[in-house]
Amino acid sequence: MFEEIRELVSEVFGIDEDEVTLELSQQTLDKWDSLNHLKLITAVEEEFNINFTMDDIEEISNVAKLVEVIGKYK
Amino acid sequence: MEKETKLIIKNAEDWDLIASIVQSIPDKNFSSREYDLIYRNLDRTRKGEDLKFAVLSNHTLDLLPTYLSVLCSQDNLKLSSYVAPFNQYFQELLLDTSGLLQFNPELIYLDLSIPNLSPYIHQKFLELDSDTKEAELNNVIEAIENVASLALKNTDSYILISNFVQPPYTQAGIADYKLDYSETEWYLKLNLKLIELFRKENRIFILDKSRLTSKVGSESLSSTKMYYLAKMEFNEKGLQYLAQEILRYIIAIKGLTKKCLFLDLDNTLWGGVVGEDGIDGIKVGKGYPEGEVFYALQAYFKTLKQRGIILALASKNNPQDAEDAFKIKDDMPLTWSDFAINRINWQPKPQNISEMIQSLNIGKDSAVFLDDNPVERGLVNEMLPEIKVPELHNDPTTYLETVQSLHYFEKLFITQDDTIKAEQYKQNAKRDGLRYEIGDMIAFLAKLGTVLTISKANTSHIKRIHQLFSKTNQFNVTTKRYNTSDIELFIKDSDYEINVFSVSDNFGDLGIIGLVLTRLDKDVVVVDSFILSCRAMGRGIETAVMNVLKNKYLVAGAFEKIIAMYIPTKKNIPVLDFFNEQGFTVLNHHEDNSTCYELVNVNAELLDCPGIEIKLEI
Repeated sequence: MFEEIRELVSEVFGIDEDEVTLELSQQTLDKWDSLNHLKLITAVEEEFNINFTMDDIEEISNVAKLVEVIGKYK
Repeated sequence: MEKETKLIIKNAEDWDLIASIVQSIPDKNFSSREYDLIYRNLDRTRKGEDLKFAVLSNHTLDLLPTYLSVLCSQDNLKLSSYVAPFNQYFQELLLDTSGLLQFNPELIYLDLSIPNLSPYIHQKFLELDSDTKEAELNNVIEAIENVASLALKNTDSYILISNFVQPPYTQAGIADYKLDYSETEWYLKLNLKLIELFRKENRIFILDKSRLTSKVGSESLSSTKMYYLAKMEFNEKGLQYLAQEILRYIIAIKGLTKKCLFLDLDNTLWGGVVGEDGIDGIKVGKGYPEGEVFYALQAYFKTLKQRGIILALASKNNPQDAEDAFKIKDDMPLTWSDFAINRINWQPKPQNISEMIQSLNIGKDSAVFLDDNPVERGLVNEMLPEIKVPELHNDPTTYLETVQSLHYFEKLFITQDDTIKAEQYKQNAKRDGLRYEIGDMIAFLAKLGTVLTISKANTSHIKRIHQLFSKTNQFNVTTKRYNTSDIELFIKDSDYEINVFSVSDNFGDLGIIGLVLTRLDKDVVVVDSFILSCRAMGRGIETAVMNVLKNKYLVAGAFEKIIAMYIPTKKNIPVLDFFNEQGFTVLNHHEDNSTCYELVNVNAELLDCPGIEIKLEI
């Protein structure tokens, strides 16, 4: 599943897949701004057919958290 | 979308390549991620732009350009965009240094919504008395009026203002309609007021968000979660729909409205095959399901004709069967005479359509072809790629929605000229017939009995002049596209002269079919634009007009010379030698392939143009 998430994250932020690590976060990546955060959420919801709660969306501040939160639903 | 396609898009160096991929995917049912990917790469490879688009809003519309850019690429339109910071519409229009004014857009989309404009109406409606509700209504209207007049004053953009959507539930519930001043009524009054305010304003248009919502539904267009998280009133689906509506205005603004619709007959205009089922067997008319389906379709095509779109027939039938069907079945909305031209035979359709396009004197890329048969569609697509060929699915009940959803037939205004245009094209086809009969051009022109009236333009001509500037591609020496505010300026400014010409003849009145815009610069007259509608080409009108100009400025006037410019485009080949033929000499060639001509007063000679009577109102 990480492969799928990696591809999606790289596409949303327009970065190489190699750059997508579990540590990648809102603090370390400039492109991870509030607008791109929404794009990421929308893309993940579409792709994995999930409906995140507001708390989930707040919590997803790095890739590791993203993987964890998706895991809750899958 | 296939992974390979995505890779091609990511690696593309050429904007056109990405646009052609978008065009090759019929249903455009992209995910939001795919829209984003295409948008980013369109933007990366884009050099220059065809339209600058700006958004002013009090809710989040930052993603709108993503969707709009992708949709525009379907029609090869390069879009650059600017989204003003949230809720800063006044500041953005007031400060010279604002992002918006610096960006200098051609089109501004203003989308304000009630939660922000009037929190009381939004959530405390039942606490308000009728006077307060009315006061709030006036506040909202005043805010919009202020923004609009600032935009008119500080920009020369077109301004597209969205109207207001009724909330999905009223605060009083089903009792709303019994209130002294109901919430429903409040919104209706607001939207009505918007129409009244801007009806006469040539640069302001209403985007009907309310109609869009009633068509698609607010549950599909918005996501409550996204609203609370990011003040996004539209979700991805909603933005896509909104972009589609905005595209209609862009097509009209850029003069890309299609001129002609080619129609098939059997199973497109009626159910069944007239050659096999007989005239009594074809299905169209009131009172039975299949008949009503095609009746509704025909009624819609008739409205297109009334908008000024030419209807033409391209069908494989016995010509007599087709004509008889229209004459005998008299309960059809369309009549035989609604079609400006037809080719009903067994020749390949691309050939028939090419001939008709030539006869109508329109560009290939200004036509749409509609046929239920996928083979015919494929053939036309293949042979005449410039023509738009919408997909029709098997079920005729879907045809009407398909045709209505097309953005190709939009015009900013419908003028007197539009409503009679189809008639004029038909007269042209008749005139053409006369040309074949007589065989001699001079005798033909004499028989036409052309009366050419040249008049100084005034403000009542603005809409028609704007149409000529934005839609004429062939007989257009510089192809400069001016907007309505430029035109108003030309009319008022004494350094400019704008003359319009109209033509009537023994077959009818063609209305205003051309214009000349000149700039007077001391003792030199500069021809800025010289435009003649294709309906009036090939009968010496341009020469007659040029004679009038030569006479006015050089022979009888005090000017030393006329300077004119020819800027070549893909389409203005008919005027390649125009100035040469009119006795001008080449002054110089420019690097961009444009040519500058001059005509000095001692060399000015009036050319022979037989059969044209000239009336001057200048």
